Amino acid sequence: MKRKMNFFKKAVFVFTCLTLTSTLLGGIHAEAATKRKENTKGFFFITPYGQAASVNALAIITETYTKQDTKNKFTKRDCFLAYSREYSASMPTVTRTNGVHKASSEGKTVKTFTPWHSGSYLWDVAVRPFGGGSYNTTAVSYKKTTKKVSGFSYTVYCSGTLVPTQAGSVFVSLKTK
Amino acid sequence: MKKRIISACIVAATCCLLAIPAAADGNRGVSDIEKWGDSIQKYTETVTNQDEAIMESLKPAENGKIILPQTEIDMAKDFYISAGYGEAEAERLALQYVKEINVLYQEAISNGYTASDQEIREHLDSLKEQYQTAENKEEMQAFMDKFENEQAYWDYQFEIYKKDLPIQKYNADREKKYLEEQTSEDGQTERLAIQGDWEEEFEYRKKAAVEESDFVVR
Repeated sequence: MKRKMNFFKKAVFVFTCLTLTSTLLGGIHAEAATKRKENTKGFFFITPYGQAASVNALAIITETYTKQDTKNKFTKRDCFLAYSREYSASMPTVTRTNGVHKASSEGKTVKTFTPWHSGSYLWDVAVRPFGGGSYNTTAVSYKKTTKKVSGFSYTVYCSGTLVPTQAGSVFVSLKTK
Repeated sequence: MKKRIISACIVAATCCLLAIPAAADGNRGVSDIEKWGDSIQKYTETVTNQDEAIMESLKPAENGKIILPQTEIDMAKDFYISAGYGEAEAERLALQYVKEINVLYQEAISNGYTASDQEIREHLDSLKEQYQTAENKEEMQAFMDKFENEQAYWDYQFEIYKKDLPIQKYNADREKKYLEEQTSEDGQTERLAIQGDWEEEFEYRKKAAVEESDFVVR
């Protein structure tokens, strides 16, 4: 009898835990929102006969947040970059930096993040053969009226050209209504 | 206190020393392009009038000897001089570049990659559109402005792309094939990670092909 009672208590405990977890997660999921920005940029490099090597890059930043009273809690940032390139003897290369939060789009970096995990992405490889990204799940809270922005930069480099290094970036405002 | 002031002065002086070349480099880009834009004008007529050696280099190499047109070497040398290299280094880099381009072109055509006049025109039309939205369109414009007019620039490009477009198509397919071989079937996430592998592979194959080839300057 005592054994049966113990089993019953355990079952009730597990059931309660599962119900609470699912309610909690359901609640968070319902309030989760995203801020997202993407841009496409073209870069050209003049090579020794005057012809061009080029890169066409698609950059996307996505921030996931939950609404709180006067603040938002940003719980995940996902940085994705894909590109195509055209070249003959001088090949352009692309290097992406990790995502950061900056005081404003032209401002200083106010927050760096670690660790970053490789994400899983789907994109049209026929248009942009190279691509990939990473995400970080460190939580940070800012006022809803914040001027801070989230995003990342990348550099496009083509050796043996007159202006070998160019830069691109994508940043999204973290301000919400 | 004295030490702190001295340290601050040293830091400030170091920052200034680092900042000056950086700023100079930033300004150098467009001026280098303009300088070379001026320099290339002495070749545009030769190129657009279909320079004999260049036209010959567009044919499959005879007896295994790849033609290196003197005009291309001179142009490339001027390019590297505009980029700030000394005479001897510019000459070495130019010869290497012209060898690479012509080896790649011969590889491309021997693998069936060609470019018809129509394809070249379509490619140039696409470039015209892309230049309008390019991040560095002022650099492209600075170069284009050195030509007699815009049409002169595109006429020149038309001749250059007779050699360049087959190579671009060849490279694109080789890159695609390499990616397909290296990427697992269940995902695309490794594609950014293996870009460096292809870059190394491309450089290795290019250098090996140059070393294995015979050249003749015309």
